[in-house]
Amino acid sequence: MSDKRLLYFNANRVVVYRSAHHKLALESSFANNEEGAAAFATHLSGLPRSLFFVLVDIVEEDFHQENIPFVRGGDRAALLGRKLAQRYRDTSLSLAMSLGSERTQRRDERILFSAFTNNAQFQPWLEALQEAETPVAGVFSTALLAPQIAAKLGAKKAPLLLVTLQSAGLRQSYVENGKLRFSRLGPLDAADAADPSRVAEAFDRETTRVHQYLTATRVVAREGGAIDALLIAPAGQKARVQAAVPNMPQVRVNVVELGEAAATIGLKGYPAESGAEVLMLHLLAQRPPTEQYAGENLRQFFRLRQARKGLVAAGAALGAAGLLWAGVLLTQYFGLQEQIGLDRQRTRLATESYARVEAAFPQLPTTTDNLRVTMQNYAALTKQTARPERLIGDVSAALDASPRIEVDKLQWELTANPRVTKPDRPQGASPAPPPPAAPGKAVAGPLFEVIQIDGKVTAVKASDYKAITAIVDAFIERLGKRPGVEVLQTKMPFELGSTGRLSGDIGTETGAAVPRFSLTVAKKTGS
Amino acid sequence: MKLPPNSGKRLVAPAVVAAFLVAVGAVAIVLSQQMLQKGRAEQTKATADREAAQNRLARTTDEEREIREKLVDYQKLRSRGLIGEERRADWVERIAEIKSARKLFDVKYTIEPQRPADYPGLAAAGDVEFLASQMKVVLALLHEEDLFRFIEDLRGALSSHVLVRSCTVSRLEVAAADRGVGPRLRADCTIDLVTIRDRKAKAT
Repeated sequence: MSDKRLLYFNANRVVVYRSAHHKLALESSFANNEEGAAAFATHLSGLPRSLFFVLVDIVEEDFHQENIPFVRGGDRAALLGRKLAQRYRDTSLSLAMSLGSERTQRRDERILFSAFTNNAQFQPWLEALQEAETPVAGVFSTALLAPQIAAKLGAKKAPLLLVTLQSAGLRQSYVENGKLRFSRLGPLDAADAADPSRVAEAFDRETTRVHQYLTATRVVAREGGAIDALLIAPAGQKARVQAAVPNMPQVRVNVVELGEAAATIGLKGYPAESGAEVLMLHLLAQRPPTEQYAGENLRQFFRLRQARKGLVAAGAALGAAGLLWAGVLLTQYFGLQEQIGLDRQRTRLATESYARVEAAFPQLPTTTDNLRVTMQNYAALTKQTARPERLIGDVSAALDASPRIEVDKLQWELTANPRVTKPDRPQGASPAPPPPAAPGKAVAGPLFEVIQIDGKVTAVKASDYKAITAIVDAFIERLGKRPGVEVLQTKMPFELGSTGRLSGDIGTETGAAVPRFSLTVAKKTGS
Repeated sequence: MKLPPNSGKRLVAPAVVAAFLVAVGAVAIVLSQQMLQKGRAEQTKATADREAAQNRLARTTDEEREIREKLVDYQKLRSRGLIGEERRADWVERIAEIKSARKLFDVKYTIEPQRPADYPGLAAAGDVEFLASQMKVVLALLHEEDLFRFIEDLRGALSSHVLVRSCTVSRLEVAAADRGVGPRLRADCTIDLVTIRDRKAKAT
């Protein structure tokens, strides 16, 4: 982290301090004149491009409180700009600070307008900063730091008149509810500053003036009683200053030594013989006020620095978020690895246990899987192993009860497609098997025994259609009654239906013509 | 907010640094996501393996009983000669013996080359193969019972599973004078002789 540099500007001198690790170090000091500004420009060129804060402590400043109507956004900014332009000839170093809203129906906003009234004295110094492309965080008045000092030293909300003695003089700032209401720098020579009685005299004189002003402007109520005042005395002079402070009925004075005040606000080191400005400088470096006097023109290199830092910070934030998310994912990953390890351990234990149990199994002539597959397939094969005598036996039983039926030919076969007619099957060919099962899957369709019977009817006149039909029908009926047997197809000796042709010779006796028929019956294997 | 002229150039370096930092974060996310996906896949497999092993262990008692039962049947098949290479020479001898024992008139047979059995319900398995040799046999019979006895004898005598696929029995035209002594029926049968090849079977 680069050091911060603080430019303390008063009517006589311009001093550069360096702030680091809660310590202030005096870096250089210049007379407040043209030669000093030139020397400062030369000094800047030899410095690293560090961040500058300009703290102004001069008499030529103005504080003015005014109420403005309740407006927001661009209208408010335009109104404040107009008000500043109306009040100050040069608004390049000016500000408008909100002090809150009135508790009336109109909700008017109280604004403290402030500006330096002689800006020409700053120009050489500010130009030197700009030419050196130095990032300037802002131009501040010591008065702007008074609320912070008041808060740190114990008066957070109560009205307090803060009196500080710095090299520029005796500054009195009136702070109420944590907001600056008024500030004034009273002149005090360096020789006077070393004399506690002169300090007390100046304190009496200046405080009386300030109190009169605050009463006149009704910032302090006339019959409101005494106000608290805190005087920060130079190092080692607390007792003497306290003894010399005159008794003022309208002000209750409390004296704090500079060293005590510095310790309270966290300033661990500062140059000896410094005034109370070191308190302001330290607070400015640690926590600069949001309000300051400089315009955007003076702060452009500060904005550039902010943009550069912002880019890197945004990148770092996104990168860190990415790393954080990656960390979350990696945490999940390592959690998974732990579970995987547990699963593998349990798998190993189960496998080892199984191996121990398997070792107690009988000695196998093959692998367990082969044994299982072999017997499973053999069972499937056995199920579709049919015995021809089963269905032929059914035919024989039906034939025994049909003495006039004589069989010439029996064609038995095992098939998956019993309704495919015999001519569709090539003679002597194997029955068409269903497609083989997919690897590892036993898909078994039913198989059928099919028998085709070619026979004839004997001892009946060939022209006795009725008797022949009755004999064949009776045979078919007997076959159909056998368990599981289904008659699929019948071809009678002649067609008695209305759609066929029927012919005969009534006068002829029984001749050589024999009435032949054909039947196809089926039975599911295993039924 | 106002920036000085030529600010763009001065913002390049921090922009590059920012981009690098963002890239580091993005790469870290991508890599960790890939690791996580890989880890999830590994976990799925590890869980499946564990469940399989644990289920197998849990089924051990049933499996042992099943194996003992199947082992008995397997040994029977093995002792019958169904498991192993087919023994055609033995089959021919057995058929001749059956013909002689049953006093059959005539037995003609043809055994086709061996091929994989293609019956429904046979699960394909790499180490176990069911093979079928198709035998076409023509018999001259006195009675159809002779056919049934012949088939039954084949089942008992051959070192294979006998599966009849088709049989045609037709009446022979015989002169009345010869009816007492000659065959009266002709049977044409197609029979599959199935054997099992187990590549992992241990030699007895």
